[in-house]
Amino acid sequence: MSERPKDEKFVHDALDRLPVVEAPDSIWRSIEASLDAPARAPERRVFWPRYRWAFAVATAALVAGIGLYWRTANRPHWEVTLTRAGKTTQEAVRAGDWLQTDASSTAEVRVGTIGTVEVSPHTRLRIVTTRPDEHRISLQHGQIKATITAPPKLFFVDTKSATAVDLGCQYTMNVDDYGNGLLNVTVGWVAFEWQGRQSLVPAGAQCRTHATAGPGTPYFEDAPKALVNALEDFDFANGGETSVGAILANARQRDTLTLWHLLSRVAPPLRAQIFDKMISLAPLPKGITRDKVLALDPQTLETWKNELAWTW
Amino acid sequence: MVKKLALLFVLAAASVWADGLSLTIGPPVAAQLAMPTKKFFGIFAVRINGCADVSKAQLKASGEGIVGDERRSAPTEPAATLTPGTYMVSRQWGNDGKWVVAVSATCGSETAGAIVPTHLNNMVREGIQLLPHAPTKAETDAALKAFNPAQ
Repeated sequence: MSERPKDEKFVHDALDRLPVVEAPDSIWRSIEASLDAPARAPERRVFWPRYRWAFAVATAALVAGIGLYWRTANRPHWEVTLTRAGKTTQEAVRAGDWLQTDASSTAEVRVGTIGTVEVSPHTRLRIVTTRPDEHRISLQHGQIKATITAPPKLFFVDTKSATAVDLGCQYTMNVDDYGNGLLNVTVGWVAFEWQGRQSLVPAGAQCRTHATAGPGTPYFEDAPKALVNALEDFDFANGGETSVGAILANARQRDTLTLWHLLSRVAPPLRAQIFDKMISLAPLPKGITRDKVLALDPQTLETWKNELAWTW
Repeated sequence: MVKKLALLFVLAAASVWADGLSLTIGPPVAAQLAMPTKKFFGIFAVRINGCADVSKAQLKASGEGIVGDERRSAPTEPAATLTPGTYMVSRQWGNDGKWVVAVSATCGSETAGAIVPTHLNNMVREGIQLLPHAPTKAETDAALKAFNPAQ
């Protein structure tokens, strides 16, 4: 007890002897900052704070990329077998892709599950749509052979001057860069359409199309040459009445296919001449009347065409 | 009154059957648009005419051919189209030899028939025979003998 007061006195005296020195400003600033600190929100610790926006953008890009890849990988596609100089390779084509063959190559495209398209050399085409309810290609130039076993109006081939609408069929089609071409049907029916004009082409028949006029009038492959020439003039050279006269003069029974189409493409006086020629080649079926045919009644014309098909 | 009604019925029936049962033969395109999916391919179409109830009509077809020196038969089942009474006949034999198709239809007690020459996947219209009965073996053999398809 006696030692402790003595030590305290010694320390107190020592402290009294120390000089008073003013603290540097930096200490006061530090103290003030410490006093203010509890009032401020605690600072969050963030990884790479300077690059957080770049990180966010990169993450978004990665997610978008994965999504795009997934979508592309799962987008409907058609399988293509390319043959070049005897070697075959497999590819997949999707909507928007182009397919081109040269002098030494061909291709076979599997159109979903509904058929195939054989692509001849020197052909260029684009895949437009690969949906289950619409399969569509655009033929720029060259030749294709399509074999389709599907309900009508699922497969379309666009050209610059006509669209071939499959009605369950097999056909070849060739077209040049300007849109001039020829459709040749070997099985079934194809509707050849352009700007409201339609030619129905059955197996064994063919139909030309022209860049400025669209699809012409269909005719059977074995039609008389004089009829075919006159039809060419009528369709694409303003042949008019003279051409129709030549067509009627050379028409056989199965050329009622051609005459049936002409009914709706001529003025009434010529229409009556065509009708008379048709009934001289194939008897008028029950329920079909002259008046309704000349008035271009759609149901009458459809029924008559269906009956005429039995005679082709 | 009953007798008069019966007489009217008989007269009406007679007028319906006046044309009798018959067949129309045409190219496949005549029936193709009425075909169910994936059955478009055929060598010719057949339509049964003069049958009051085509749902009860029956159609049979058989390829009859000569390959080399051998006489062959190849039954083929006509495919019904979506149009009642209309059928598509397809080929069930190879490319060799010459072939006709014997077709027979029945509707009630009536029968009708046809013999249709064919060449590969096409009918040969010029040689078609329409018959008021099912083709007999003699008629079929004679048609085969007379038929010389273009090679």
